[in-house]
Parts: sequence; C-alpha cells; structure tokens
Amino acid sequence: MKTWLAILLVSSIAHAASIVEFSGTEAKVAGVKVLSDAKAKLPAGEVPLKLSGAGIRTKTKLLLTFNVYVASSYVTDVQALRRAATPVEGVRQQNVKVLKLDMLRALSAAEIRQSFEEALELNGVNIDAAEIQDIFAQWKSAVKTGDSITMIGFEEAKEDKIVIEVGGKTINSKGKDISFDFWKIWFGKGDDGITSLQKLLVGKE
Amino acid sequence: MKRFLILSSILALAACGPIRDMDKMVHTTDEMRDNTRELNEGMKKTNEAVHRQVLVISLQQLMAPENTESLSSPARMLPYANSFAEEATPEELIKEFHTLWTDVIYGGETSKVPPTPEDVRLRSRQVSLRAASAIAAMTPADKFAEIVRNQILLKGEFEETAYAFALTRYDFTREYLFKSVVENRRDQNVQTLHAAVKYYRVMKKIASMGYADKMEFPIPVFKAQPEGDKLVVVDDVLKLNTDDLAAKGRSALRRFNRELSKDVLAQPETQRLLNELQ
Repeated sequence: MKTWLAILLVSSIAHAASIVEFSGTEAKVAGVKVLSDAKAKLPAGEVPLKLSGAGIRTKTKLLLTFNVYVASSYVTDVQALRRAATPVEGVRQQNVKVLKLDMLRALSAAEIRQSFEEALELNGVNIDAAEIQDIFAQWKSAVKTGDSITMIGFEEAKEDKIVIEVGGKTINSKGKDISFDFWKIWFGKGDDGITSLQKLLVGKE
Repeated sequence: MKRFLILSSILALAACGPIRDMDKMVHTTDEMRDNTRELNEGMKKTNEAVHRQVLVISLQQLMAPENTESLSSPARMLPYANSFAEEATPEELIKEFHTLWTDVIYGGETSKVPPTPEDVRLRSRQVSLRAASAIAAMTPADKFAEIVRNQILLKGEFEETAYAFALTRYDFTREYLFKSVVENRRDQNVQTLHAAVKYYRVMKKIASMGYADKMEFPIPVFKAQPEGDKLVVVDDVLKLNTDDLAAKGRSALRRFNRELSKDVLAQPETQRLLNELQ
C-alpha cells in the first residue's frame, strides 16, 4: 500500500512538473489526441498558445515509409507564423513556442541524438556549441511508443531558453538562439518527411 | 652358342615374374586412377549439392514469412542474406539479385485502375526488395568488386542490374548495418568502431563510383497512399542519395570520440579508424 502511495505521489509530482497544459477541442492524428490549445506556465506568468498544426513525421527507408511520431506545434501568434516568408522566420516571431512529439515507435537516446545532431548540422547550427552539447549531455532517455516529448522555447532575462520534458525528466538549457536553433529541426531544412510535416505544422493552406 | 641359349632362356624365364608383377602394378595404378577420378567426381557432385543446398535453404529462409514479418527492422533476414552472400559466386549473386529485382520492377502488373496494394502484390514485392538489398549489402567486398568489374566495367549481361545492386547495397548498409552499430548499440568499443568503419567504407566506395546517374530506377506501383477512404498505389523512384554521407560519418565520429575511453582513443590504430569517418 505504501509503495502504491509512493508511486502515485511520484507520478503525480512528475505529471505536475510539466510546465505545459493542453486543452480545447480534440482532433486525432494517427490515433493520437491533439488538442487545440496549450498554456505554458513560465516564471513570468502563464502564456496561452494556439495549435498552428499537427502531422506525422515519417521516415522512408528503401521505399518503405514508417511513422515515427505525431508532432503538434503551438505558438503565440499563429498568423505571424503563417504570414512569414519562410517557416523559420515565422518561428523567429514567436515569443513562446511549444512542440509536442507523440512517439509512434521506440527510439534509443543515441538514435534521437544522432538524428537531432544531423538535422541541426544540416541547418548550419554549430552542434559543438556548449548550450547544444549541454542539452545532449542531459538527454539520457530512450522513448517508446506512446511516450511524448514536449519542448518549450521562450525568452527569459533576455536569453533564449529551452525546456525539454522527456521520460519524466526535464532538460534545461539557455543561450543565444538555442530554442530557435532547435526549432529549425522541424521548420528549417530537412528530408522529404520533414518537408511534408513542416507544411502541416505551419498549417498554411 | 648352346650355353648362350640356355642362359637367355633362364634369364627370360626369370624376367617373367617381374613383368607379370609390373602388369599387375600398371593395372592397379589404372584402377586407382579411375577410382580417384570417380571419387573426385563424387566429391565434386557432393560439394555442388551442398553448395546448392546452402543457397536454396538461405534463400528460403530469407523470404520465409516468419523472417519477413518486420520490414522496418529486417534483422531476421540478415543471417540468411549473409549465408547466401558468403556461399554464392559473384555470378550467382547477380543472377539471384536480378530475379528478385525483376519481381520488384515488373511483379506488380495489373489492369486495375487505380490499383490497391493487393492488386500489385505490394507487400510481397517489398519483401523482394528487402531480400535483394540485404543480399547486396552482405556481399563480401571482393565479390562485389568482381560484379562491378564483370558487369559494369566489362559490360556484362547484368550491367543495369549491377547498378541496382550497388544502389541497394548502399541504402541497406546506411539504413540498417551502419545505423545498427552507430545508433542502436548501447555501448561502443574498438570492435564496434571497426564495424562502423567497415560499413562506412562500403558506402564511400559506392559514393565514389561515379555512376550516380545510372543509379536511379522508377519503380511502378510501389508506393501506397490514401485516396479518399481507400489506399491506392502509385509509382515511386529509388535513387542514390549520398548527400548525408559526410554528416553520418561526422556524427559517428563524435559518438566514438565521446564514448571510447581515453586509453583507447590514444592508440594510433583507433585514430587511424576514426580518421576514416572524417
């Protein structure tokens, strides 16, 4: 009984530790529930965000396409994101942004790291930068189907900050353009799977 | 004179024994030669039968439903692709690859418009592509070099297939073999570095071959996509894309640099291997 209470307590603390709450109308993408609104609970106060779009990240290997995760993007100004000349410029105009990845297959921590590092490098980000390496040094969790990764990007004390919630752990890092650089993985250059997903995340017709 | 005749007769009689013995010996030698020839032929037939048996069993298992359940992670196909590639001659390899490749390209003919995955045997042809690619990737370097020499450089009967062989060898190595070492292993050591470098060399070799324009194949009715409320199949293209090769190498290099111990990293052999991933 004590053990159960302890588990319940720990899980409720872990749940409560999330700084993003999702609400609103529900849609389904590949069986994953996607909600229309989010609220980021930041030190400066609560910030409401709107869903700009959601879609499936697919990977193609030898002409076979696999679903990897469902990505949902929440921003403070959806119209600014859609009006911008490029998705990356649209991301630049967001005060706060949230990206939620609901896994449709398991990935090891090394797989996630390799894939993020390659995408960052493709977008001209210096992955040897201390703040980027700081994130990877903290990222030890593998993910399995059904798990989710939530990323929050915001400015705090005139510094760009990123918080990543994965596997019950919270990863923090800050530095020049850190969250902006990370968002380039989905809103910058990428393979065919990212290009298709990007259109859905921006939600442009 | 008399004495001479008697002596000759005695000598002739005395010689009869060895001559008979020699005849016998010649006869025995002939018999042994025949037996050896028969034995050699028998052994040759046995070896051929064993060779064919290895090929047939490997191929059967490679394509077996229980080993092709998962095409996203075709680990259970690998041992049989490996035994086939190790046993087969370069000629047998390209011929078997050609058969599977033909099924991939032409095995989906149908008169249905628009066709469904079932109409074009999509799943079965995907198995053929995975099997062909696994064989190509598992082919030892010397046999692959012979295929390139005989089919591409010397314009062999299977020249076009040889380009597909090289292309699928590259893709399968990148997506499964190299990745399985660099991304899927929990721990890294010198042996995993050796394996990563071996697979990286395979990719570099093909990337530097200079036949990229030949390594592009339209594949009819091979991509399933939703149309309204049903799934239909459209054409797809398989082409060589080596754009991310250098990034994959750098990414692997970072991981080995990060995870190998200082002692291991300090060894010249380790540094030589790491340089190959640059």
